[in-house]
Amino acid sequence: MLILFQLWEDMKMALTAIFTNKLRSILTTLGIIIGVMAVIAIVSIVNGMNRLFVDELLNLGGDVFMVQKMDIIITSNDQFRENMKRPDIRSDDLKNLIEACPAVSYISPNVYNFKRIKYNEKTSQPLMVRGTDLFQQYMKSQNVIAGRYLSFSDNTHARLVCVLGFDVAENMFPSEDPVGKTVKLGSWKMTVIGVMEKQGDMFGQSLDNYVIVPLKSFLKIYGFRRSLEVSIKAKEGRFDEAQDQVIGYFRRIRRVPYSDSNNFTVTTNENLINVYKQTTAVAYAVMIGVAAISLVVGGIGIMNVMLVSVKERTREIGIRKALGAKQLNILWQFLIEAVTLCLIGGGIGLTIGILIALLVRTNTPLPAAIPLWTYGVGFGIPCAVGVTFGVVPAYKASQLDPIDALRYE
Amino acid sequence: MSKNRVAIEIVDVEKVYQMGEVQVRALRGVSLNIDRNEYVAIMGPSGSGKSTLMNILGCLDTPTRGSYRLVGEEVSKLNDSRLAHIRNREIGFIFQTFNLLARATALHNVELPLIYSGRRKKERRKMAMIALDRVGLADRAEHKPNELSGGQRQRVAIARALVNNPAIILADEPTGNLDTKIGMEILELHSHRMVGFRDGSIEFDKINPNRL
Ligand SMILES: Nc1ncnc2c1ncn2[C@@H]1O[C@H](COP(=O)(O)OP(=O)(O)O)[C@@H](O)[C@H]1O
Ligand SMILES: [Mg+2]
Repeated sequence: MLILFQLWEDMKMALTAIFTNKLRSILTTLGIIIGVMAVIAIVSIVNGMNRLFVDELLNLGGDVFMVQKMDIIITSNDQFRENMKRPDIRSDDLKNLIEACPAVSYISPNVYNFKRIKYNEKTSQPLMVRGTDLFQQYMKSQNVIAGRYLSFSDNTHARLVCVLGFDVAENMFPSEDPVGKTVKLGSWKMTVIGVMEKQGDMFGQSLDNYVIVPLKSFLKIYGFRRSLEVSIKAKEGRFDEAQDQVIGYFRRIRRVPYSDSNNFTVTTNENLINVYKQTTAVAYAVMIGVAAISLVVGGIGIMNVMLVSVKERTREIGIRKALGAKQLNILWQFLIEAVTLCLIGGGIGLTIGILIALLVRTNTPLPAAIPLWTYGVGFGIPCAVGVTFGVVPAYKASQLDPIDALRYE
Repeated sequence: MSKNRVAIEIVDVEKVYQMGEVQVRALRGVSLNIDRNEYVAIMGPSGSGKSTLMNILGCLDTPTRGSYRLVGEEVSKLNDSRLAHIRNREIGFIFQTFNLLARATALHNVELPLIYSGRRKKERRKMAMIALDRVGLADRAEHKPNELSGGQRQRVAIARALVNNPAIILADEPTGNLDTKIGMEILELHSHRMVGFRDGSIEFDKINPNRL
């Protein structure tokens, strides 16, 4: 306790020194700010990608593939522009699909949203709300453990009913049977008709955090102008054939010229995993690169400004030594100052990083989330940088000869 | 401190500054004993080496040759930590140019020696306030040096030198660059403090003999 108190005292002293040179201090910590910010922003975005990816995988069983409007990963502006021009996939497009593709056994349309649900006073975390139909349950071998799944007439009548993922049921109804209860989705009252079997988690993300509602009800609640994602299950042993037929079908109904490439995207489990591995590897490499460079640059900046500060305050050091400061006292003073400077930068970086994550979350479909450990990083990295790059100037200060320091002009 | 009557004992001390080719011999074989409770003034024209000697006595500088024993201890043999302790506890130094921290308040300046004695904040505050009060500056505690007059700055320096109850007070030209009235004020302050110092031996550098 006493040591902590003393540390706080020392940091307050450091703050006074730092605040006498506000602009210089801010400029110096820019590298740390950018470094910490990059780590926080990228970690939270990758985390969001994990979640999205998990949600994608939720759709895909072994011999299932998906057709959707946009590519899963967009890496260039041109690709983005091309993707935006593509036509939406609408319910009408799917009417004749099964007849046209003999290798396909079922199809099921999907739309998604991230929303919270409410039960009495309780509000859930944001979770995936999926609008779909009864065939979705055949895409994966996953059973209903209570109540029932969506029925054909739930969809035709756009009934306000929902099926809960296992974790949602457990969290929202810890001691009651959810079936028959009414939860609120925004201002819409939805009757719970069933609960799905537990699937566990992947990449630390629960696979059971979702609510399923009839597609028609979803469109009524959230609006019709959205593109469907179609899950398609191939007949036994006819996976590649089914893909070819479906691609042909979409090119035909969209009248894509022979020489043009598809204006829709077909996704299988396998290419999903490949794409995902590539992007996260790139994201992490970029993160490590950006963070490392800016932290080293930031560290050198800190070292430089501390060297200047030691030089400027040579007389102060002399005075302190003349009044009884030991070498260790001076070393400590300047080391604390370097660390405090870095912590300020870290704090600013952390704040900006969190803001970026929030912006991404509210303005893109990525459910960016900040894992707790990044807060540790936001403090740990600046401390390490402060000590590493502060020790040389602090040592120099501590070794000054008292009388030379006092005479310094 | 030991029972040794001689507090300061320097023998044949020389200080030579090497200025490129030229050697400046600021002190040439000075020997001096100062006892406890002794009040000594060292006088000499400017450039005669008074400040140089004072810095050596205050354990801030080291002689080129000769020995300096402080209460029986050979100063050249002491390590940084011991020297810092002596500068902190045994010596109160009033510099010719005061050497106050420009960015700190009078109070904080007076607190500095107490920080390095490891005193807790509350105690520090109290002791520093008492010291400031003794020099008549309690109402200027929160002022920075540039908000104080020359005489007031000197009194802050005096308060700082006295705050830790040092055994030896070294004052470099205490009346040198101030008008006579303030000089007198300060002398009175010193004599007042002397009463309180059983163990104190005060050195003055170049006190105007007429005033003594
Ligand atoms: N750091 C130094 N480097 C070179 N010469 C010095 C230095 N300090 C003092 N001197 C020289 O030593 C002599 C004594 O100086 P000082 O002790 O300051 O005299 P006083 O205090 O008696 O006026 C002077 O000639 C001065 O020029
Ligand atoms: Mg002098």
